[in-house]
Amino acid sequence: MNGWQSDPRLVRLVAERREGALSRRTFLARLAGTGAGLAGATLVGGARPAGAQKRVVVTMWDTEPNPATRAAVKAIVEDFQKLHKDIEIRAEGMGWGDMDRKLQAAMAAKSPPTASHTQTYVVTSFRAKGLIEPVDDLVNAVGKDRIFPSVLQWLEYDGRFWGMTHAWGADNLGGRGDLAREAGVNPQGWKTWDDWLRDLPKLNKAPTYYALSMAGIPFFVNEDVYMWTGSNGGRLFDDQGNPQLDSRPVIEMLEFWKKVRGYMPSGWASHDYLETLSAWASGKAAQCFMWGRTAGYIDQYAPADKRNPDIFQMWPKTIGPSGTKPLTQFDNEPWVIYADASADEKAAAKEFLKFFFKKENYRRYCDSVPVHLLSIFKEDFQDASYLGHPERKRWKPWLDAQVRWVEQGRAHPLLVCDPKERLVPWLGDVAAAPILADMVMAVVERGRDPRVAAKEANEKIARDIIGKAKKA
Amino acid sequence: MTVHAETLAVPGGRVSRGSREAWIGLGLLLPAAVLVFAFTLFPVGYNLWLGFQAKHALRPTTAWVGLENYVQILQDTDFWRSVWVGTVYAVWSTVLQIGTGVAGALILHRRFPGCDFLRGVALFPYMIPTVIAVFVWRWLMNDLYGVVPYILSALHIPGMPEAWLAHGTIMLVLIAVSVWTFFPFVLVNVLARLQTIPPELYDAARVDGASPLRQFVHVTLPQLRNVLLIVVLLRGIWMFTKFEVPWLLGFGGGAGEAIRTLPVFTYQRSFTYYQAGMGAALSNVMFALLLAVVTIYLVAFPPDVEEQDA
Repeated sequence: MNGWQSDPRLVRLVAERREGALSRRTFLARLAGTGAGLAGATLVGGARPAGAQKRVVVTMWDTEPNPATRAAVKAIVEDFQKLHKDIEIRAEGMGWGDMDRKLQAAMAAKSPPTASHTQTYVVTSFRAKGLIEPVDDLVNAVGKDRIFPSVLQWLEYDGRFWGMTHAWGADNLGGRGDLAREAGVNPQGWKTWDDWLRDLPKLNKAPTYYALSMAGIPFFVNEDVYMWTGSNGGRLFDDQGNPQLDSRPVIEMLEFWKKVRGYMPSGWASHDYLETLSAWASGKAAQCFMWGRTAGYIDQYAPADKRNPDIFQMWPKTIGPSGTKPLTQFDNEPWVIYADASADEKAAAKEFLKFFFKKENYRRYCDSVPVHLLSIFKEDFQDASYLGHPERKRWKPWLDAQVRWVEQGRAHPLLVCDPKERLVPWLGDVAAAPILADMVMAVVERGRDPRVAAKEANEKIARDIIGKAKKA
Repeated sequence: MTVHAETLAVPGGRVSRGSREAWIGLGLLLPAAVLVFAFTLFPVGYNLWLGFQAKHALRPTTAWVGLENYVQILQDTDFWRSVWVGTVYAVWSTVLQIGTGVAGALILHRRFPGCDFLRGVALFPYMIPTVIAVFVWRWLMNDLYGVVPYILSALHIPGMPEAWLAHGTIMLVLIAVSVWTFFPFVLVNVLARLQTIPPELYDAARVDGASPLRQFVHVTLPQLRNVLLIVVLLRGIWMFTKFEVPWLLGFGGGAGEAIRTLPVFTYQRSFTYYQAGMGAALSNVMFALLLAVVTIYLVAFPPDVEEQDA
């Protein structure tokens, strides 16, 4: 291998030039910059006195900004640094929306962190561009066989792992047990959309309470689009990444949404996720789609005598007329390690992550949001000390419902109905754009024919996202 | 101009006083010129250039596409919808701000107990950060626990919608929030002008037997003409380009789709589709639309020079 081929920055620069993504002038300017950087680094390295200990600074961005998790991460970092005086870990937590933009900007500026959390579709994109490195050594060191296969599968490309899930959670349909009993409904018997539609009127006592609360903000509508399409045996993209919104499962999904709309609050289209939780907790809605971290919300805002899983139950998700198995969303953000970081930084980041995943440290992290930051290790779900955490014990049905999704392999990352869709390069762009939400609103709120709305959305994705992506 | 004339009159080869002054003048202008170039001309020029590119908002990828962005904009029904929505919003919110602002100014122009206090209070909506104002309005109007829908439903007024932040009604809320937030600007400007109208004009009108309504129509309104022309122009431009209020109220989607004005549409192209080139082209189109409307407006309603001189 030539000398320059061992430097990932140069390899990528040359590849971008060969693909025509860079002009000759930009290529030469960046080449000069890279060369100067390398020369400078060599000079500095060469000038260091023999035996002087270099302090490696590792920057790690994660998507868990809540105070309890921050405290846990801080404690783990402090313990790590007591053992590794030569490594400084700078851990920063932020909301995942902020992370997405911050990462994109950092990549554009060629100054990414050493490691970060990210979304599965970002792993696809970054891997294809050579921006991240495989982490097989980390996965093997932590214990590949100990990890749920359906957690790791989303990060495996061509036999190699390109990320390591920090913790997971699965979306569920939460239902009010008290309201179901009052209405004489047995949700556990639901299998199909028709079963659900049969009982929705019984659970709807508007305006006292509504049968279902859903968020109308585009991001959350996107989630419901792919979960319901996946539960109806469909997918949003074909193997080439072309949108399939005019397919039968999607059209049926839109028709179904129109029917469900009659049992939701009139202002649902302006509600955000927290408003749906609030409606569920306060008895304004019999059902909502929710994550495990809602347990904390219920404990804070629901009436004191109702804060238990007998009232706040997990109800089954149902399948559409063309589906065979329900599908849910998987919160499966992985740690990834960036190729641009120096070898020392990357090694130090992996060292830290090995420490992070040690039982005693990882348990502190998972316990900071006990029913949502679920352990990636199968053994923990047989471990009395893990299951015995007071919150996990109290909300055990919620834990079990999430584990069932993972065991069945029907928890998929955002916009991935079929595992092959994970490779669609513009998945992230579709997730960020309001096209899918507009399609739903056109049908559900403006009475547009589902076929027409789906065709328009198909054309918009082809023109505004795929077309632009190919040009730029 | 004088400096320039003197410079021309100096025989070649000798640095005259005029020439020196010209250089000093240029030197004094330079910082301002640099600032204007850096913060106005360059961004505008760069934006024009960007409008001809397919450029990702964050990644360093760019491709020349000529007029393609503009062609696509003109063929895009979503663009025309955002122009229409933005126009409805700008026109109605400006008209209502002018109405409430002028009415408020006329009331506060009178002396009565507590009028100084009320003049201060009237400014409050304009002083509250927009994000707070909009979120408070979102809570007030929420269909499940908002106080306004609760009171309206308790009053059993026929025809009242169940939800105010829904597709069919969210525009009304947007206009109401904007009028409430921005009418003090009109009020302050009109009140300031009202206080400079000579009282003799009203005395003369009263002597001629003019009723209060006729005094308003024939004395007050003509005197307010120039202020109103400027206020309508500024508020109209600002409402057409207003981003944060529609964005915070509707987040650009869901029911917010019904208030996706041109600035929100432009923002989404730039930062949710990550299409910086398309976003730049849209902002250029928005600028051109505004320029055309403002030109027509100024031709149709030229400022009254006599009143300005007065």
